[in-house]
Amino acid sequence: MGFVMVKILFIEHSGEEHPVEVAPGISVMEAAINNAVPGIDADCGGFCSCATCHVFVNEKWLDKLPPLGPNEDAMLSLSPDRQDNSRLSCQIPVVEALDGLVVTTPEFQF
Amino acid sequence: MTSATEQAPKHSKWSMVGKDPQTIPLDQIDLSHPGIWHANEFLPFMARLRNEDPVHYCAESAVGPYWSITKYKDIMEVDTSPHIYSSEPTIGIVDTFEKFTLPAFISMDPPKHDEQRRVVQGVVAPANLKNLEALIRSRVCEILDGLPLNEEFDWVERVSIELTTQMLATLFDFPFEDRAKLTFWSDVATAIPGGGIVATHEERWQAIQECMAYFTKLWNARVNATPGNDLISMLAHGEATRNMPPMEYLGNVILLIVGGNDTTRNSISGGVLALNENPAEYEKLRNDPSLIPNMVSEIIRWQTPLAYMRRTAKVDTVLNNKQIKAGDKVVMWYASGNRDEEVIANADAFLIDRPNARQHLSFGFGLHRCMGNRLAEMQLRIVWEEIMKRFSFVEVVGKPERVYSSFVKGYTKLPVVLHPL
Repeated sequence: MGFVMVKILFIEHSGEEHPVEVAPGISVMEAAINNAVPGIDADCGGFCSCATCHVFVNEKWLDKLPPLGPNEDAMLSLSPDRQDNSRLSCQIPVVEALDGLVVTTPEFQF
Repeated sequence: MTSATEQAPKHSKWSMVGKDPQTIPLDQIDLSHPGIWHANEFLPFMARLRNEDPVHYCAESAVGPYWSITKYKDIMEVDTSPHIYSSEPTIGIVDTFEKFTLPAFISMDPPKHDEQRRVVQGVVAPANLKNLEALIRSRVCEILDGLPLNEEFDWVERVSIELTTQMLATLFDFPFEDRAKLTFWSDVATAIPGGGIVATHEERWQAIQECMAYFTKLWNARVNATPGNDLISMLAHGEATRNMPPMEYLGNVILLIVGGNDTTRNSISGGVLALNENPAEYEKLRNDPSLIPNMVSEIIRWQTPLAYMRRTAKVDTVLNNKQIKAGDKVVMWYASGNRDEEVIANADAFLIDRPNARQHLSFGFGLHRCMGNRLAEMQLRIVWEEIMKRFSFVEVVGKPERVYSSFVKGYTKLPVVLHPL
């Protein structure tokens, strides 16, 4: 039996869709970077220190995510287009329960 | 005090100036000595290490044994593994004496690092930067409009230092008329005794104590006032920082001074030099000023205003087939990683329209990634936008003089002549 794969749909600001399938154990940011999904820069490499992996999480998935941490909250407050469903994708681990996750990337990351 | 650099730094037995980078035995290569950085001879030594011994052990140097990490990917690995490579006790290559050590969040690991950094990062938030942009632009214009045309002057002193110092005074809400003190303290903080800024450790310490006294006065005034948006007020009122010991306050103040001063200063000078050494790129810029934002990233890569950051191994580990022991000093040479052909094509070339120009190591990676990168990029962008509106050519007319340091990679003098449009 192989690994369970988790489907994530990234939608660009333009509306263009980028479906990916990844194994659990990485972050949603890494799922994007490993699959060359545009719209996520991840300048700091996944340490919640740059706010360039900002995503808007589809409402129905919000309560399945780990809670917003203080560092993430502080970094997100640097983002001018922060919304209630804003998260940093490096802080969301890919787990089976997130199979089907839909996130939208902002127009600019910096 | 064992450092040989203190005695006669420019004639130190440790200096590699004038040695042949191709034939010197590998084990004698020592990037830590400021000589080759001052003399601008560091590039071929770094290239040799990248090719022949990318994770390189220097057993003997004026600052003791240390590892040099010279490849882009290895640097990323170290910078993103804080559980293996600690930023404590310090990020400089010299282990300082207790008396001279200033704690600051750049040399702390989580969770304390995170708590302290959170307090001040709002000052460089995009919303705040937007508010600052008009002010920065007006100051840039005033500085540029005050410069002489067709006559030699020092770009470092009249533009790079003046502009970054004004900016720093603004961020600290520091008394504007005293702003030259900020430049002095910034230079002192990273100075090597005997290297030109201060003669001895004691002289350096005296200057740092003056800095401390001045900033204590400002703290006392701000802590009793309504919280403001300047850095001192943020520290004085921030939950994680308001009870910090005086030395820690000073350490963080100096971190913010150096972080916001030396780096941008030397990138402003470096851009002028890079365009002069690459006339075809200057021509591209004249033909298409919309390249400025991309050029700014390329300048920051090409210059790499901080040559390295140091970590200390917490445990025995293996990096690129080399056995690193707990307690070893590990130096990530960003200046080398930024020239690594394996990741950056044609890495020694300065190309203002380079694709993926933002992919460079100058800001570091991981949780210590530069906090002020957006402010730095904005300052450089505005400087170049306003230069291009005024001058057809900022011509370098003499040899640049470089900082005597393997850490701060920059210029003490850059003679130029301005040609009007």
